[in-house]
This record gives sequence, structure tokens and C-alpha cells, in this order.
Amino acid sequence: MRKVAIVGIGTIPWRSRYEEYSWRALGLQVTKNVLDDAHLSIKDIDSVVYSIYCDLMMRQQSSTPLIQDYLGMEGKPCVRVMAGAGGEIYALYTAFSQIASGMADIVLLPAIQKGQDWYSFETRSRGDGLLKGFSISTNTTWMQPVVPGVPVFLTVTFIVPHIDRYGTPTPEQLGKVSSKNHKNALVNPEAQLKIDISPKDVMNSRIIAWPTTMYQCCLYSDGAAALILASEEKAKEITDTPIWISGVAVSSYYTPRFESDNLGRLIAVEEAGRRAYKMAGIRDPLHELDVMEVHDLATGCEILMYEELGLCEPGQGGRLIDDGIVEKNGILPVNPSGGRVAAGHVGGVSGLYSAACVVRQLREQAGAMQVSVRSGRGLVEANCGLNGLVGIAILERR
Amino acid sequence: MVEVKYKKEKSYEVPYFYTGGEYLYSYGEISKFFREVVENKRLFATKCPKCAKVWMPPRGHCPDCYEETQWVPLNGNGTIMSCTYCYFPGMSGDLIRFLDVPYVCAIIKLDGADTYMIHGVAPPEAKLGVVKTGTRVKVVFREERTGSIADFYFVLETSG
Repeated sequence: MRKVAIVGIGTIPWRSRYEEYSWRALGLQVTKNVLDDAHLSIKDIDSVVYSIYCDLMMRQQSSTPLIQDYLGMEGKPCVRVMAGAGGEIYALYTAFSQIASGMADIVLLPAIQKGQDWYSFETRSRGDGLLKGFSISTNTTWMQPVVPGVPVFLTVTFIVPHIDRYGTPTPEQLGKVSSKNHKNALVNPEAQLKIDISPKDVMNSRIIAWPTTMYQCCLYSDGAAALILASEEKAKEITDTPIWISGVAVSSYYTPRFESDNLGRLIAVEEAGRRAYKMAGIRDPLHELDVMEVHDLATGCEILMYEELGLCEPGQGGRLIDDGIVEKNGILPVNPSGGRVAAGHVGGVSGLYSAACVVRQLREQAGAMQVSVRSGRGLVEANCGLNGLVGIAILERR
Repeated sequence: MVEVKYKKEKSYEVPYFYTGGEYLYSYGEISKFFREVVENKRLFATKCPKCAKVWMPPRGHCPDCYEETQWVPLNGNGTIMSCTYCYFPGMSGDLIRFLDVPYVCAIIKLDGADTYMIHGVAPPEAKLGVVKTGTRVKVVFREERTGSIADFYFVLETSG
């Protein structure tokens, strides 16, 4: 299996809506950005892997031929990967496989999604239009009529059973993690939401489903991001600082099969994490990683992830925020970009944005967000909470 | 980081209605579940003849054995395995509009079933904490039933 590196990244600021750009134009903008970063031209690309979660949200279905055309990529092989909000790492895994197997040398990986073109004429709200349309992503037979949205599902399936079993995360711990991410976003020039809120502000914000409050829920946005992956031989020609993908793994867990051993557990995160760590040769992630960017679709899930990703014993995740371990100046900063609650989120894009953030950290180009780089390794995690699809990548600078 | 350069013209917006969302949908192998809800006000689960596991929500095949399952009737009572008082109605849930907020979204182990179902419980009052893990509940069928999981909901087993 050949080695694979990230040789270019391209991002744009997260905004709740980019009405002056169509989704194709957003895709072209990040493609231009990533080609600039890698000092390559479109002719150098062998193959394209798109991460597009829901083209129906963008008033289109079967969107791949349209974006191939807009990017001038006719004739090049293209694959569109869809796996909810875990799809971006599934797409990375796909692009990785093409290069590792020798089927391609340089692969472009654009992620594009507009979350806010939907509109509810009944209530005159984009947010309501999004919630209504998005609900078809839930299990339409067994969940859509009874579950009002992702944060409620995450709360009842993962956060509450964990609290029943271990007494944590407490509302204070949830407040601290959400406050950490909002504060981190203050110095992220691309973050959608820049508000300086304390743990108390988080706890006092509008209650959604106990204990989840509004500031513990992820944002929704229009966004795009792109990476360029290359084989070892090409990577060394293209850049002095290739960031190697030393581990990548994807997994899934069952819904709606609920049993006692999967309530309160993010099993697919543990499973994918275990395989990614093994591939990258990591035994003690707390001390061998410099930074992590994970999907905090609901803040409680970030705390559960500390445990599932092996940073501590089960039930001890809350301690990592109480002891400051996951703060920006802690031993292992988590979400220095602001995470999904403050930087921005839309399915299919966030994980590639997270990967670009980790690349910037490892290249020591993260500006005010920079964490201390010691081992040169970072972890990216993306998950689709509803459908149980998870992807994890370990990035490394040697 | 390269900034997005905004065009100077103002964007033009139009309404658009997606008309492909109308279905006359068949439930296939799980049709009996919905027929029994609508016609007989009864809940059924499915049991694997090979491993004897009882699946709820029902499914036509056991995912572990790939055997076709058999229907088993349930008494409609159950135990809450996890729940949350939900204050947010969202836009998807027909049941939530019917019950109004606060509404308890719960994962329920129905008596006789091995796997749990996510559903809604109407709390007796708005105060947090009356409905919790371990609370016993029973099914209530709505007057109007259309062949949907929202045709029923749950209340405390002790309620009249």
C-alpha cells in the first residue's frame, strides 16, 4: 500500500448563508484556493472525490455532473461520497484508497454544501425550512414523526444514558466545553459565530432537551472546503511539508437497533479510533497527539468522545475539561478552531474543514489558534450522529 | 487564507417548490405492524425463529441470522431506558405537534421485546423529573390513525 499525503488545503469562511454564491461557485472557490496552496493546476489532478451530503438541500439531485462541468473536470474519474456528516472522512478514505492502491496519483477532494436554501413559507423561516427538509435524513418509518431533531436524538441516545451510568457530563462540564469552543472561535477568522460566553451563559441559554441547551447545539451553515491528496512520490515534488495520512478508518453503528450495550456509547467512534490508531502506530493518544478536531454536534458528545477515543477511562471524560487538559493551552487541545458549535457546520464539509485546520496546526500556520506541536500528529473525527457513520483520520508531519 | 471576493450585484431570490415529495408508499414486509395499529389498536414485534431475539421496532429479517422473522403481539407496556424532556418542537414530528411541549422523547423497552424503541411520552406535568429512566409506561392509541408511528404514544402506566 503506497503512502498518501495532504499537499494542499483550501477553505472559505463559514457563514450561515452565502446568497451571492451558488454551490457550484463555492466549490470552484475552494478548488482555486487548494490549487493555489499546492501550487498545482487543474490539469495535474487525476481524479476527483466529492463530499456532498445532500444535494436536495441545494435544489438539485445527481449533482456530480454539474460540478464536474463547472470545475472543468470532464473526462476525469469522479466519485461522490455520501455518509451524512461523517461523509467527509468517508470521502477522504475513498481518495486515500485510490492513491494507496495506485489507481491515481493526485486526487482533488472538494466538499460542498449549502444548508440554508430551504425555506418554510408557513413560518417564514430558513431554520424551520431546514429542519423540515432535513428530517427526511432521519429514519422516516421509525423516527421522523417522533424525534424533533438531531440534538434531541443525541441527548436521549447518548448523553442521558451516560449520565445515568456515570453521573457525568454535568451541566457545568457541558457549559465549560461549549464555552471553550466558543472562546476558541473568537480568534478563528473563518468562524461563523464569534461570541464570548461563559459556562453559565451556556447553561442558561434556551433549553432544547435536558441537559442540552441552545449553545450546546451545532450551528448550520453554507460551506465548502477542499484538500488535495498525493502519493509519496508526487507529494515530495509538490511540497516541503506534506502532511501524511498515517491512519484512516471508517465505521458505522446500528440505528434503530437500541440495546443496553449501545445506549450511552459512541461505539463506532471507538471502533474507527482503534483501527486508525493501530494503522498509525499510536498507543497513548493523550500523549502522542498534539491536537484533535472532532464533531461536537451536541457538546455532550464531545465529552463522550474523549472516552471513546481512549483519552481516559470510561466515565472520566468530564475530568478532561475540569483539569483543563483539552483547553487550547492544555496537554491535548480539542477543537481549537471552535468546533461545530462555533466555527460552523454542515454535513459533508465540516470534517474536511477540520482536516484543513489540523494541517494548518501541524504546519504551524494556524495564527492565533496555534497549539504547541511536539509529536507532529493530529486527529480528525467526523460523525453523522443520526445514521451512525463515523470516520477518523490521523495526520502526521514527519 | 484566501478571502471570498463578493460580487457587487445583489443576489436574486425565487421561491421553488419541490414536487417530487408525494408518495403512495408500501410498508412491504412490515405492513402487519401498521395494519394492527390502525385496525386493532395493537402493537406487534418480530421474533427470529433461529436465535429467538424479539426485535422492536419490527423488521422482516433478523440482521444477525438473516432468517425471516415471525410476528409476536405485545401488551403495550414498557420501561423507559433513557429519556429527555424536550422543549423544542422542531418541524418534523407530527406527534410533537399533537402532544405539545414539553414532550418526553424516550427510549422504551416494551415488555416482551429485546431491543428498544425511540418514541414519545406525554408527561403528566411540565415539571422535570417525573418521567425518568426506569419509569413504567403504557401505550395510548390516537383517535385518528393513518398508518404511522405517530398513531400512538405513551403515558405513565399508573395514569387513568
